[in-house]
Amino acid sequence: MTIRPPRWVVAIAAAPVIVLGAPLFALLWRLPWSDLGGALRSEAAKSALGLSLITSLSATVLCVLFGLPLAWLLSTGTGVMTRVIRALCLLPIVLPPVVGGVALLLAFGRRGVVGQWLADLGIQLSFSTAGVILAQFFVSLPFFVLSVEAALRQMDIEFAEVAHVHGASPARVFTAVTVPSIAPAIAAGSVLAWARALGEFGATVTFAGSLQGRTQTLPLAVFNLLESDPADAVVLSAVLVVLAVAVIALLRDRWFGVLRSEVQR
Amino acid sequence: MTGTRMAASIEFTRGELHLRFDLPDMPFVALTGPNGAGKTSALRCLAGLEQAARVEWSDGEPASRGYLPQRVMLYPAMSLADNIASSMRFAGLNKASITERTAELLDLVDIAPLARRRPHEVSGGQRQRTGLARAIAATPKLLLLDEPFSAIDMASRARVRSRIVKYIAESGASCVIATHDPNDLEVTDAASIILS
Repeated sequence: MTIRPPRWVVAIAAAPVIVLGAPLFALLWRLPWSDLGGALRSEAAKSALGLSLITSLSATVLCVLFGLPLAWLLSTGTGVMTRVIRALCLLPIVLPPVVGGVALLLAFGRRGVVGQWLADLGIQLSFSTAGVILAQFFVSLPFFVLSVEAALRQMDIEFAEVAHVHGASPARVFTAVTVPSIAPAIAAGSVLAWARALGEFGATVTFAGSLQGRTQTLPLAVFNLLESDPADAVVLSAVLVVLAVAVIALLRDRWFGVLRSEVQR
Repeated sequence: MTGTRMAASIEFTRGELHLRFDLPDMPFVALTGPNGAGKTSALRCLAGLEQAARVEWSDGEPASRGYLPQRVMLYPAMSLADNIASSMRFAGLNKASITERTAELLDLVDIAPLARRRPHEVSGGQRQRTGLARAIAATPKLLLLDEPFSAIDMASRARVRSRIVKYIAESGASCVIATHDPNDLEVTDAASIILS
């Protein structure tokens, strides 16, 4: 039988549920239901929504493209270099995003270490849409890499060995055997990275600014509208809530599935 | 059955395990011996999977190998048919012959109705049949089979074994089988190496 927690435990457990639930409830409560369309049709909202989708999806594609080889490298390495690179990959998760933005500015800004070379070539990343994507890529890559590396490490190496004996090159083993086997982890890592990119604020505002139509993504627009037009800010916030709920629904089986199997074990 | 000159001498040490044996120039060789004698390790040496092993091939390393590990290790994301086709794809065979031969092999091991199933959807014996088909599909020069018929039900084991053995003999491959089953030795007329 299940031994249920006593009432006082239930009371303690209820407190964080209120903290988590109340803001969501308040947001829905204050939503100007009669004027939803109007808020979404405003110029600032439309451009922010479009920009957010384009930049966050671009950042996610970059995460997959560069994150897969990186995760593969990390999963096979044992040396000091591997540990250093992994620590570097973890850093953006722990680092305050604003600090990440400052660091990006110092590296890729117009007078930055790398940025001044790029400027000579006529490329400016800071305060551009490309800079938004770079900032989002910076903060979301760790989520993808960690998710995929964990899956790679858990995978039985004998699968790859069989393919190797049958004459497949290392790249072929990876693309034909390994990647399809860890597809669920790649999908989950992509969704996590995308969610992180979509919500990015600190690094973006520091490195790319908040220029409407160019760098003002949804979270930046919400922050801006809070002063000028709070009702519209609430509507745009609600859009992000809907997307967040969609992410949880997408990952439901993955997260709660893990919980279930752990309980059964 | 003709000799294929796939002779080799093998030396391998890992922890308590010391392996030293000569692979004779024979179409079928059986590796026998008690649990822990190193049958699986010996196969892995021949497969080129043990970097610490010293393997000297009398006529150079085999140009191609087929491998059925004890745990079969069918690729989980691929259907049974795709698993069988995989070794031919890796060997660079053309699409038409891969399709044709996959169908033949599915029939050879009696799993044609399961062709589109995934490995986790079929039984252990059906997985082993698929693994056998995958190992022999690209007609490799050297075949390495670890307990290849152990999971197949008694009723059809003899039939599947005789078909596989005939297929291998006709392909001209050298085949090394790690086995506990005396029937495997009898049917293949194998030279046996007893590891201890």
